[in-house]
Amino acid sequence: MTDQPVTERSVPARRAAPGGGAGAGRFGGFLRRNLDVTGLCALLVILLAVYSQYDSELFTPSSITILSAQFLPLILAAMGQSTVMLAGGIDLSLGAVLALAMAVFAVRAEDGVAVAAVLALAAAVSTGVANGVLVAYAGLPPIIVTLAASFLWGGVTLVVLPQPGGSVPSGLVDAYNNGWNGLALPFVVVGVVLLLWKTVRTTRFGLSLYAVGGNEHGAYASGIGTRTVKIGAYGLAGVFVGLAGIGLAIQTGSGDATIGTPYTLNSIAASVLAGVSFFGGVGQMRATVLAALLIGLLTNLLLFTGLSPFYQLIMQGAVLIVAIAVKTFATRERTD
Amino acid sequence: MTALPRTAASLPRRLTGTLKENRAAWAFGVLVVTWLAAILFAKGFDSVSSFRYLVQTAAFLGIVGVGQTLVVMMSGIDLSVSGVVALSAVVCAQVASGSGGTAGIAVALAASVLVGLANAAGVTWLRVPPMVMTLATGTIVAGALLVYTDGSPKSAKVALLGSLANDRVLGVPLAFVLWIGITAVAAWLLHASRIGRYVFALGNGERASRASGVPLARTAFIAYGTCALLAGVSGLVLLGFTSTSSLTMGNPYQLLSIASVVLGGTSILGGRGHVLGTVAGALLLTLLTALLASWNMSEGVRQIVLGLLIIGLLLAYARERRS
Amino acid sequence: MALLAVEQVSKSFAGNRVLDRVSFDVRPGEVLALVGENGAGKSTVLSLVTGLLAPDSGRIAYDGEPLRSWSPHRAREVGIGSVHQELSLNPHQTVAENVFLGQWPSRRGLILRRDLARRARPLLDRVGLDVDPLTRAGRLPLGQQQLVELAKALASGPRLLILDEATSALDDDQVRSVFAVVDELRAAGSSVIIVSHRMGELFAVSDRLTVLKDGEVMATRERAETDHDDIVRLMIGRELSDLFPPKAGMSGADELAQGDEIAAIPSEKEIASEKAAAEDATADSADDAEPAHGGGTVLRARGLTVPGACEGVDLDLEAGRIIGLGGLQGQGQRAVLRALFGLVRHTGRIELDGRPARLASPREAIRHRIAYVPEDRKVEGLHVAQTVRANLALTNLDVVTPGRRLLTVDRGAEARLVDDLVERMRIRVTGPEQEARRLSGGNQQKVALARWLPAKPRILLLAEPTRGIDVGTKREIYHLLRRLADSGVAVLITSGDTMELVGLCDEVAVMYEGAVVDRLAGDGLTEERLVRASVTGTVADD
Repeated sequence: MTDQPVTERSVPARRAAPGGGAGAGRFGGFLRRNLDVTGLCALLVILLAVYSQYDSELFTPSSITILSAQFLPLILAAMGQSTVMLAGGIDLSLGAVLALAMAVFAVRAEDGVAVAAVLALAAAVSTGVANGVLVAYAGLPPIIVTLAASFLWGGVTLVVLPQPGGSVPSGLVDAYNNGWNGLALPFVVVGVVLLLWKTVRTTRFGLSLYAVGGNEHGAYASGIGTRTVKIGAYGLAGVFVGLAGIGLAIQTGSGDATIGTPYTLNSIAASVLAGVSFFGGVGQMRATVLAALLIGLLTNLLLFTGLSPFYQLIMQGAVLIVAIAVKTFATRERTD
Repeated sequence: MTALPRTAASLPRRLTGTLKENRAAWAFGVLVVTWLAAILFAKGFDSVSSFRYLVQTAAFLGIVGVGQTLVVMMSGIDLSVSGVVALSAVVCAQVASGSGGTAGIAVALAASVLVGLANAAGVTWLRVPPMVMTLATGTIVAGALLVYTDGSPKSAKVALLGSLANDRVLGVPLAFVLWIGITAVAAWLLHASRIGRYVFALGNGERASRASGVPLARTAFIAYGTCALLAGVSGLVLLGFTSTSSLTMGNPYQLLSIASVVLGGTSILGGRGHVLGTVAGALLLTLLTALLASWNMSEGVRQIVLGLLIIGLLLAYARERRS
Repeated sequence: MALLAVEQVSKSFAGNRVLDRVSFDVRPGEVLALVGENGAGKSTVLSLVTGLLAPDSGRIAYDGEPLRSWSPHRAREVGIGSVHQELSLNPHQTVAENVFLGQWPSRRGLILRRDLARRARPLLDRVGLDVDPLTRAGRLPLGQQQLVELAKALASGPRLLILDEATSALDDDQVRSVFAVVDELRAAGSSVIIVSHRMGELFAVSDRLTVLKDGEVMATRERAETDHDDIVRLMIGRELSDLFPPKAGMSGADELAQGDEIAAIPSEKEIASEKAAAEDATADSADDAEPAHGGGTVLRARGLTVPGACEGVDLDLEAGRIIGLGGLQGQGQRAVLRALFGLVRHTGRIELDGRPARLASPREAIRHRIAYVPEDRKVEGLHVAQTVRANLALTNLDVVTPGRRLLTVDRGAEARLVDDLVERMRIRVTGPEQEARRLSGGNQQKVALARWLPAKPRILLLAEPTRGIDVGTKREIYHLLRRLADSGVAVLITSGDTMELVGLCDEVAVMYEGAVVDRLAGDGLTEERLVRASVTGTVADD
């Protein structure tokens, strides 16, 4: 993975295309630019159609609330992973950090939810910053740093919460899972977080994030503080992952140090599915949200089809391979 | 104008140069120092039997690590090794209970290699990034095992595996001998054969390799196939060691095998390192784990310390050169 | 007072002294050309000025103040802008975002795309670039990307602009717009440092020339008081003649040499004797001035098409001849080469020795003894992080694994092969274990070429064989290519350098928008005709 794909740069002038599609139209251009989002939307629609065959109550408010409560952690975790990947990194300690935030929140929730949330977020952000500092200053590849860090944060989580436990006030759990005055709280959270991202995306930091991911040396030579940007990216990812951990704690009503592990893989899967490049600099957050939703729905759907839960893992893996292979082939022309 | 004669650099200078450049040598240095420290300051590390036990248990990780080295060297990564270790042990136990040990071993190894070939096919033909592809196959294997065993894998005593894991020749554990033998073959493959040249070339740049006529698919199939085969072998030895199989028995090896490769001085980005370093890496990790266990710490603290130690060691000698 | 003063600056890498007490200055409103061969230290000294590196000793003063705590960020703040050969653009962001890379103008902390595009427009106009500021930078051809880079340097209103091989990927029109910018800056009292291998450009635009050789300043000359030969003499420390070898059929050799020897770069003596022989031959064959044809068609391509790059290209490669693909930048020349080496999917009929052949992958091309030296040495031509030995051995594993079945690489055979190639190609290395990235561009190119020679290619494809290479090495490579052709190899090159195509090639096919529009050979092959055909895209008849 050392050589970055010199994507479009290797394709000679477009104008050399004989009879090129100059009149392809605005809409076509929009579609091509948003291939990931439109593709994912189409998939999502198909999936929802199938889903509603099995679950006729899918589109009722209570069902939407429950489902969004269920998917929120993965969506937020995927957003965290995407943030790091956009800056050209990767976070293999994500699951451990998620579990840490969950544990901190669950242990402290009885003394006050707000304080617990702040503590959990602070813990997640500081692990993110620590990861970022190691990546930015130590000259260690992100994959290795975060791999080693996953031991570290996993250990911290075990110290905070050696056995599954802690408890979240039942009122909160109920409001979160079953709606609060008819409002699907998790849904709102995703909306707010997306808005937050949108804002970040239009600041200098947001643009720098993409710049560092796209061409680190170029960004440095242009006077961007690449180290600060990387640390910021990991820190911001910490915010998302921390929220995911809090969400998971509220959803399940308690904390569990071992529950985070699958989120590392699934968050990477969602990001890749969304078109976030492993090499950084390419990707859209709304696509990540859609992809995470897709993965969540698919898992649920498999339960509904009455398939033995044992088959779930097989299906998950197979779907991931097929989806990414299809995506690779669909976009191959652009990268060949 | 032309090349200096090869012997121009004086020997001492070349030696220090080699040390500076050779991270595998560093890994052995750290290992020796740690071991000496353990003997001097910790209890229970000064006996021959403890030494024997360490190299025996390190072999399980070490054999997986050798395979992982092959894959990492060509810029890949194999996260399915945990699944394959379990696959091989579970399948062998299952088959052995019906059709005997030999059949069990054969089927288990064949199944393992199959996973490796699937990995290579996905990476080269479907162009799925290695990390995602091997994660996915690992997940599929885990699911398949659930289905296959209905959630409750069998235990089995296979005589051959039992002796492979527990017996000794001239006082040396057979598992260790097996590990060193495998390492020797891997060292030839990686550092002396044509395939090795291809692996290193791929690790240093896929586009340049393609333009140089490196057989990308063949190299990937050999590397991933061998890696899975070795994970399977490790699973079998583990089965012989514990006489039981479980669905999660491979889990520690996913991250630890990669850690042992990197602590052995191989660049995680590929194309740089030596398979011998992985031997040191696996021994070092096993030693550290044993040390921490001897200190009566809680599981959490033990993990924290291990994480910090690994990061510290990486900082000490595994930094990537900035370009 | 000088705007920039470099005083007695030295810099070493790993014990290698690349700059030795270098001194020069740049006055306000002046264009200074920095010239020297590859590895002379130009890029290093510029990296010191732009803050990418720090000097070991000596002093650099900007605006009378010595540089302290210097970084690219600081350099940009005080008004030093730079454009390098190596692009610093982010291919995935828009042109507008790239123009303001790292210093995006914001409103209350927010940066608006439309706003950026509006602000980028005048800067793009200034560099003569007519593209939508909202296009992704990576979608533009290389030349235009380099102009975006220039617009980016202008965005901060530089008082000192550094152009480091900034014109290497540009066509003549684009070069003119760069020079217009340079003149504009000079008129406004700003200064420019320019580095280029195209000597003509330097004389056209600079006020003074500072010559570097092996990390030392040889001289600084006023443009009016020097000439091309003087500068070249200072650069390479001797006179340079016979840049190009005699063409096919002029070399005095009646038949193609069919030796078993691997070709080598000829020595000075050999070049001289070849030249004499060629002069004799021209004198002898003055009657039949028909350009000699080589040893028959080796490769025949008909209707070669690479979607989106080239269409319906017909090409005949003959043993003993050097064919060039000319034209403006990005007209599909590169795609033709890549298709013939199996690197891109293509349609059309390809025959090798009259038999239809499928070139679906580089491996198949190599099996047909086709060799390819790409323009991008660092990504595709070489494994830059590997040793010279590993690079040279990789394409010759058949040679160094005797018996083939036994798959072990024979270290002895490998060492002999590497030593032999290093010597034949006069590659300057500290030893076979030196990493390829530590070599100068010229020596890297020699390695990229040398690695194919033991396999005795029948067809040699080279993209931009001398881009970014010093003149001395250029000459060596030209003579080597001719020697290879004389030994029966069919050579095909692409080049953006008109002089090179005319001086080296036996025939040049001019490409325009993906098609061959004209073929020039013999007396018809002149720079003027070549340029006209390239620009107009029609047959250049007088």
